[in-house]
Amino acid sequence: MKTYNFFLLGAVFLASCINVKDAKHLDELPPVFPDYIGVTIPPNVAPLTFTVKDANQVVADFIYEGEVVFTAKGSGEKGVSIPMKKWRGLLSRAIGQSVQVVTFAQRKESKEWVSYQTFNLFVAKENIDPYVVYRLIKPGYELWDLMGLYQRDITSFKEKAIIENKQLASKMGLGCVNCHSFCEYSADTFMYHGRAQYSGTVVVRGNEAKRMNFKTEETGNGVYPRWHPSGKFIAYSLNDTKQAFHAYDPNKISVYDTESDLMIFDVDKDEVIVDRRFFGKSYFETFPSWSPDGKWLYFCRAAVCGDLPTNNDKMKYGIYRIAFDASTARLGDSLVCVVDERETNKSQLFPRISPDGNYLLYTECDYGTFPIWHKEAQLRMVDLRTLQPVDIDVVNSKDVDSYHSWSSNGRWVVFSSRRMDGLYTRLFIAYFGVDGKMGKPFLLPQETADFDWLRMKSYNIPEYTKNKMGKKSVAIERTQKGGETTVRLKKY
Amino acid sequence: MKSRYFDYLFLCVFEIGMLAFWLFLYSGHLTAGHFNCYFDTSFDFFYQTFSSQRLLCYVGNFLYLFFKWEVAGAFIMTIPVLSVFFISRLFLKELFFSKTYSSFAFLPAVLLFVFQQSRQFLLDRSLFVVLLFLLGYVYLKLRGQRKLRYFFSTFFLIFPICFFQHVELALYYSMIGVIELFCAKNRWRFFSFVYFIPAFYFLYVYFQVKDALTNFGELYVEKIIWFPALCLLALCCGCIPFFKKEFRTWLYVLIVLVIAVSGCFFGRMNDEEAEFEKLIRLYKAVWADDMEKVLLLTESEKKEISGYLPFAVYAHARKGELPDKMFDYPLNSNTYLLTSAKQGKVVASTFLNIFFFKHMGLMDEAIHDAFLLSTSPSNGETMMSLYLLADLNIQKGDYLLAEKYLCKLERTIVNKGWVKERREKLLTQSAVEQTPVRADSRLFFIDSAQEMNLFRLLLDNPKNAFARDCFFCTLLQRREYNLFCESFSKLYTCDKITFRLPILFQEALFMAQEVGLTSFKDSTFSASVQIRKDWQEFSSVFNDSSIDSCSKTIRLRKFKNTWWYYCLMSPEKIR
Repeated sequence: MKTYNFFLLGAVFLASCINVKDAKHLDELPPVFPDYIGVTIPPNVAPLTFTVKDANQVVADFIYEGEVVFTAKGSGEKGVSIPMKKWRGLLSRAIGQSVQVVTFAQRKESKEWVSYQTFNLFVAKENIDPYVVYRLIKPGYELWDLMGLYQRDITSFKEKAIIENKQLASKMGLGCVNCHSFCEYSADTFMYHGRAQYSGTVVVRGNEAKRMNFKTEETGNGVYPRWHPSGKFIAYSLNDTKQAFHAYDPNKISVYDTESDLMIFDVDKDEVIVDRRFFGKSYFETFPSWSPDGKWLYFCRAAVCGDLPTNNDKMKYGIYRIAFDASTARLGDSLVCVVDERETNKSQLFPRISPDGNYLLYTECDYGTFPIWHKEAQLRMVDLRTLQPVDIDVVNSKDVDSYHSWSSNGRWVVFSSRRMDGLYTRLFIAYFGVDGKMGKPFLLPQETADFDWLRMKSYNIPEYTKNKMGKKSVAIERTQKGGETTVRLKKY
Repeated sequence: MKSRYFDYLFLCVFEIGMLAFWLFLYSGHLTAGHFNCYFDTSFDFFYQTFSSQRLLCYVGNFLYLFFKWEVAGAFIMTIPVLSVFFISRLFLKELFFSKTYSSFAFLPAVLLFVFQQSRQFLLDRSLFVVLLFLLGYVYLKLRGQRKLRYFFSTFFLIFPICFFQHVELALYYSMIGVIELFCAKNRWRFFSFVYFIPAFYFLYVYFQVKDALTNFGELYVEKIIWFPALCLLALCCGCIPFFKKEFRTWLYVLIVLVIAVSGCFFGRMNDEEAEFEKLIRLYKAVWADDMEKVLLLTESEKKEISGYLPFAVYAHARKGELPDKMFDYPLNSNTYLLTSAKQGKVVASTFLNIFFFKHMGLMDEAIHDAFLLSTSPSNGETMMSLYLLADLNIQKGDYLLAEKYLCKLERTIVNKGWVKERREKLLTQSAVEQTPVRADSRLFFIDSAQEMNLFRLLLDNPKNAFARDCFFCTLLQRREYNLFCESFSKLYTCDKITFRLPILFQEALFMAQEVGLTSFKDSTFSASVQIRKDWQEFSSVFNDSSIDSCSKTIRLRKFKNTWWYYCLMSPEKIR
């Protein structure tokens, strides 16, 4: 969506009249926002629009091999306006190398032009998946108004709604959509949950779509989902989730489960499979995730402490895995502990295995099951070959760093973080090198530098897709409003 | 000449009357318009508003910004009314080729003015009426020229306006098509289908954009019944001289019928609007920290509690006189002293809770409620929620978030001064009064046991007089006498120096001492001489078995504002 302002044109015109080469040079790096200094970027990413703090106008020269390829100008509010064609041309030339950026800014108060030290943008060899899907919602979480699932084109700035809750409005009010999951990064095979009047799970496979009702004598609505790489199964946790609001704790909300089990949905047979071992009262199991080969099911597990939410700070989740045989749809015999909560005395959540199967990326927080409201939540990584931790502190901040996804080539991690203002989650992307080192994360580029600063909604559950969703919105809406499909229960 | 002079004189009086009405009787409605709107200059906002609600809503939201100043709001409200008057005059002139009937133009103008008094009838609806009349006039003007080019010019001129201005307008526009279909002759009839194109477009939008459907559903009364009624009335009045005598009687009956039905509708509407007006005035007074005004507006609660009691309680607590004034109100144990959430006024309760929590030092909870409030309008963002979130975060000391909301407000054109003032506050405000974080703060949840939360809060910050008064008064009102004495013993001893002991608390504690209540453990407490004297008199009458209950009640009436009377003269027992 275009966000040009009338004033921007005026500002750009004024900037073009000024000879910024006469600017006073400062021997420091520019205080740019978003912080793109020294980041590694994909060669197919949209232009990195940025501004300089407390600047009236900003000018940036993009230099490659000592030659100024183009100059971008803009207002202090919106940031430099980078021409898309020139940007793409520059990145395609600079693959595997770096681009230098010289920044000039006119200070707000003194109106004086200054120039800063040159900074680098490293252009990686590997592309990023072109789309990321997320939910946009206000960070109130008790009541909500407009929200929806959106697909953002990372190579441009286009954002398109997949489904918005206003499409599901009824006498019961606006609906709710949440917890989307894609099979093998395909926008053609995915699912999400709908709540309120048209509740159920919408499962889409190509042109076939159905609204599932997972309620049987033992199972309820599926909550946290994960598609099996084969596309035949979806693993769900079954949670009875509650919220409690802290009065003056730095963590505003305590989200906890009073029940939490696992089930596997056989998409072909409309059957839910329950293993008694993961359907008991003494342990809570949640956040299932598959290994890329589909042979292991990872999940988080905690011993139940009664009296919640009072005892919520005693709930510590570890990461476990169990073998899965797709031909029989049965889980194996032995449970393997991957990250032991008794050793860390913390909660390990959202396990995600890298596409090469070598690394486990997860979120760690002090306690509980919902790190999104934990200021101390950090991303952590384990090398699955050695089970040794990998240092990825470069991606973490003082605030919440949480829900994360791997790109299909395993080189780009997208995660949500509240580091910008402490409340609204924003999406950050970090490069993960072949050497197993994580790069400095950067904010998902937007058309104007102040876009994310002014957006009053949080980004939830970023998931990459390789292809565009297309015009499915109306069909999805029809499916959700149409009849529901019931399931059979299979227990062993 | 005389007629015109009269028209203009009447117009001036009408304009002044309307301005006075909005400024003195319905100023709350103007404020509500501003509070519930949102507008910024970004293309994103334009795109979103346009795609879901069309251009008139965008213009309406823009104009609502200026309702921040009531005079500007009142003036803006009168513009559509005057426009309708002038267009109707032209309309009638065009229709009858005479100025004689131009006075009838007041009729739709007055009706629009009455419509505007409903808070459901947003500003874009007024603009819609103006456009409707304008298009009607353009049609009339062009229809006389029966040439092909005029049909085309009508189509090319009016259709885009319908398309871009208001979806529903297309429906009305198709009415012209119906007229043309029956009235036009020969080949001209073919062109009547052109007028149905907007209606087809409307149907397309109807299925594509669900917002259009929702809005249509919400306002069906105005649209389906009252707009055609309004048009019909105007038409009937304008046509009276042209009707044959035998039809005129029926015409008069029809006019009387429409006016009667409208009267009933507006009579019912006015009660709701008066209630709404009062609520918004209370909001404004709370916002401006004008406690005298809050008390003035809630004066009637002293006779009968009708849902505004929490506002009065808040005002007294802010003034530090809640314990002294509490029994001025006809309380009982089931009255909700602190929140009216269970009395059906959810939005009012959420609004007031924000200020309650703010003064209790529970900033997170106040912010949480501000978020809840921001979800009540269907379009999400409101000026009120942004003002609140900016202010609350400034007070909390979360400068980064406060700056975010200030930046957002800065883009709304009319708030640059307000934002500048707040920014200066951000720079100068160094110490923010906040409740200290306890080691066990993770266990402190806001839940239904509000009194216990207040007690824990007071243990952390016993100097918070607002929270203290609310807490102890709630306990006394709910007859939690033992809990009152127990809590008082703990809190009284931890901050004796700054405690002003209100008469109500002294009465309660003295009675506890006298009856030997074990939950009260502070031996240093001593009540004033007057209270001792009053208690002696009260207890002697109360305990005198020779006096019958009726005369006992009469003799004890002079103590009706005391804790003893509330506690002992009511059938409910102390818990």
